[in-house]
Amino acid sequence: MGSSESKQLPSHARAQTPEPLHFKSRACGSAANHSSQPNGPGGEGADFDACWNMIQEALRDIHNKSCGRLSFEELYRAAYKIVLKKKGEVLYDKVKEFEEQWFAMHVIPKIEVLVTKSLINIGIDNSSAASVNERRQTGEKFLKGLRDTWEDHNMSMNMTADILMYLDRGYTQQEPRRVPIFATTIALFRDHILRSCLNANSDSLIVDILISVMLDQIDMERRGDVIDRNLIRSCSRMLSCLYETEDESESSKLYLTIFEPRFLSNSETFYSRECDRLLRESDASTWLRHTETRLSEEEDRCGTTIERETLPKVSDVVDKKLILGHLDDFLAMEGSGLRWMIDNDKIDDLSILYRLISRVDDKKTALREILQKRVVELGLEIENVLKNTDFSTGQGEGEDGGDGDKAKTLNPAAQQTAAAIRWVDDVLRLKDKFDYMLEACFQEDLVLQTALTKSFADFINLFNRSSEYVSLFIDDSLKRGIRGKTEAEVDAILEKAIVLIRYLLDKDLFQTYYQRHLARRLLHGKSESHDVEKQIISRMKQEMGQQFTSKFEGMFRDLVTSSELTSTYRDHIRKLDPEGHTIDLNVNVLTTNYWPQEVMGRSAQLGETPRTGCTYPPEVKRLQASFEQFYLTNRNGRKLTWIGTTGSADIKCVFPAIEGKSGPLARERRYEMNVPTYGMVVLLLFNDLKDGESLSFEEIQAKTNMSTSDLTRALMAIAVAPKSRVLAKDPPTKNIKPTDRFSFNASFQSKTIRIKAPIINAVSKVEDKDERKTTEEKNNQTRAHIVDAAIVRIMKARKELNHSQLVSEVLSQLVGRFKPEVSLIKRRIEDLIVREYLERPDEDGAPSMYRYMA
Amino acid sequence: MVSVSDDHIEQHSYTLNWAVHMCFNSKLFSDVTIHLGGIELPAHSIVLASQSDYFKKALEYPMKEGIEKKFEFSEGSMHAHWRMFEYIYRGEYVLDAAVPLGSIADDEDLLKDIRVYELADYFQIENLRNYAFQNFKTRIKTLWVSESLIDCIREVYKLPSNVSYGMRIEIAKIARKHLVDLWDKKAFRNLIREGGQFVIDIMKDIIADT
Repeated sequence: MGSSESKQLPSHARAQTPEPLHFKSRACGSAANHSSQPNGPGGEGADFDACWNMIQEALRDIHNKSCGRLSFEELYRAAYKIVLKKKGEVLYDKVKEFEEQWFAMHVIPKIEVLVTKSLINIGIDNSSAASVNERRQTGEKFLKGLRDTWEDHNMSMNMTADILMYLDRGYTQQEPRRVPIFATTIALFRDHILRSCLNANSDSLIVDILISVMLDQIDMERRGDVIDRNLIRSCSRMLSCLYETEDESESSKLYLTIFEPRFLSNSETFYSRECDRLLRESDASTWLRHTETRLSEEEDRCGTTIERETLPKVSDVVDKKLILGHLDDFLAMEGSGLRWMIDNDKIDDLSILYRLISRVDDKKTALREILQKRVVELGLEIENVLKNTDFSTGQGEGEDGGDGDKAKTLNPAAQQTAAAIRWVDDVLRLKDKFDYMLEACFQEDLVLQTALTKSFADFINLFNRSSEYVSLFIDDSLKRGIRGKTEAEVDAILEKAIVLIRYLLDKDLFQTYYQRHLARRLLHGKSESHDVEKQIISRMKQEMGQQFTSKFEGMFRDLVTSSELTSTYRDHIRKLDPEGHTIDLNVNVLTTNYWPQEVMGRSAQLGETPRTGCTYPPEVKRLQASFEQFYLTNRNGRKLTWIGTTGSADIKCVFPAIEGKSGPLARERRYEMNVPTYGMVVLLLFNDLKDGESLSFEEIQAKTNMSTSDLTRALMAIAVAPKSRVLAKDPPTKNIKPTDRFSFNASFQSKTIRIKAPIINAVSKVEDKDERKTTEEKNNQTRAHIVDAAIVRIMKARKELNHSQLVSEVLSQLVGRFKPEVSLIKRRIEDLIVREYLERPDEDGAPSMYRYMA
Repeated sequence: MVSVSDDHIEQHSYTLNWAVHMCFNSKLFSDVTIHLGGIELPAHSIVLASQSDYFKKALEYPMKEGIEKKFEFSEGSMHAHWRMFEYIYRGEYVLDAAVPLGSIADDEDLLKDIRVYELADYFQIENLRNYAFQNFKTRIKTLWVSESLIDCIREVYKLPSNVSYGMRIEIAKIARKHLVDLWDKKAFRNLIREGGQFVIDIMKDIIADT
């Protein structure tokens, strides 16, 4: 008798073990129910008995595993003959009866002895005195007994059914109330064993005990014991081969109807308790790792111990109980929860957490919300640190606090720059942290990426200086930051800048600052590299569009044209005056709209009457006239305005030797000075002054016609700044007052021949509170115009819209430039109604409608 | 995965078919012996099992046939058995008597298909059952005059009604069509006298016509 694995579960257990030979499916004749004719001569009763006796003997041999002497052909033909003689029904019933008897006599007793008291207890009370080991052995013994019996029965019934193949073909198939003989005989195991109690002391069914034992073994394995997985699997296979009814529909497999529900509910209890225990005794990190281990254990279990079809269901149980059970509690744990993982860059923990959360929530809500909250918190912390840091010593406190000796006091502008750089660095460091997290832990998850971007934008825009600081950061980088850097490093800096700009909501404000800072860099030659300047502008163009950068590009164009202009003008002058007695002029012609208003001499202060220019000395005037004539020859209709505030002049000054003094003062000193244009204008006044004479502030102002602020700045450069104090001031304080008097500083001396007077700018590099207010107000004015234009554009196209539609269209049109307050839009609408661009139709029921008036 | 052209597949199944075709009644690679009366027919378990569940199971189980790889058939027509095995290997059978069975008388022409049909049912070879049925349908159009028609009817009605349904309809139709001529034959009148399902089928036909 062969007992190889492939033969233990032959044909009828098809779902489990595919047959080695499977050329065609079992054929079914077209069944039609015809009543049969009485047939043939008598004496068939004897024939039947002979055939049945042979079959009965064979069934016994099959059970006893001694079928070597049986002939398949003889048995098959015997059944065939019975069927042809219309005795199929009798044969069917006799086979069934035989198997029932066999079962009662030979199979049930074997199982009965296995059902012991300690076995029955397994299902009821696992905390009893019996040790785990004893329990496992008792359980295994029962499972083995049941498995062996089942396998014998299954194999015998398969063989029987195959000998009786023609019974199904010629008889069963035309009897609607009959199921194949195999279904009937295999089900005996279900009815007479699994659904029986088989023990006087208990009313537990064998199948319940079986499942309890299986679950008990599985729980033992979950607790770390080693169990016989194959044994459990044989039992689950058995339950998969048996059905609730003889219809044998797939969904009525006992595995699915009885085992699986109990397995799942047992798993629920187990993991629910486990989760509670973890919450009490462990930390989030342990919980994460443990949960992941459990998931892979269950997968393994479904592959080796029970059926694979249970995997999604049991995984779901683990998801619900172990992951979701106390998710929020674990995430909130002090010293190991999500916040702690974020702050301490716990890459592994976060990766596991992401994998687990992804299993239970597409939106990753729990993870996302805490991440976002933490980003904003850390972002606001940056702002707080900034507020509490004293930048006046030139160093951030955190970095090098003890190095007080070297630290010199920085002016407010430098302090602001330092703060801006610190802010940008901190923000970028924070971004790097979360970017890395996104890549290393969150599989570049789009939902989380979007959420993080939003949170960064949130806190960046909560900070009211973000636009200015981003521009300052770029300013500083382009002035000093990129010196000596490789192309790749420069590229990285540019990328950082762009990243930050992307976050800014009020892009128009940034535009204003950038324009101002760029103008300063260009006009004062502070930019480290025009190539890099152009690169960043072209990146902004890609990112924000042509409109955003058109002014910046215009500024560059102006400078290029101007340098050409300067050289052609020089050629022109050289022809007229080959001796070169005239003043060398280097001119930048700036297009009004490209450059910041402040540079262009339009006052920064609202309300103050703009006063530009000054009365230039005659030689300068002549030069200006000569250039204007040259310039306007080919350019009709243009108007040139001279902006002294942004220029500078190289002058030669001679300080006569002072008698009675020794050292350098005893000699005549000649210096070449670079001073602001207005400084030059002021200095020229002193050429005509006699020794010892002085001029008051008011006298100078009267002669030059400069605005108070312009003059103050000019005097700061030449009468206060220590290295270029060519005028003496009375009193010699550091402030300029209208009552001050100024005179030639005869005892001026300098170690260098070339002296550069500081440029005290009209446009301060960083803004104080008032200036920023001004900038914002101005910006708001510009915004009002932009909103007006947007409203008119929309209404012209749509003719009629209600209020909320209009507002939302305006908002969507202006995305990328700035986010206007709804109240601003409202005010602009009212204004446009007053100006009769729009009207409110006087129709009932449409109180919030607007109509465009052509 | 390489995509395979239809030509390639056709070529493959052709060579395989041809190999099996050539194996019929050949000792080459033979692992099974079939005894038809006294005649031995060498056979191949893989071929038999691929066409018939009967052979598949019989060769699989550790019973006599499975152990000895030997089948003995002595009941029924040996020529029909031969034709069945021929079909198993070749997808067709010929009506000429097989030479190795020379000593055994072949079946009447009209009964040849019917007897193969019976075996196809016994060994559960559905394609052969259809094939024999189609052959029979063509043949009976001219051979109904044969004296063996009566035996033919008896053999068909002996099989379970669900497996022989189509055949019964066909034979009743022919009998009905030539009822007048058949009535002249005593054997036919005896058959009618016995009654049974055949008479009922004929009557059904007659009633349907009127």
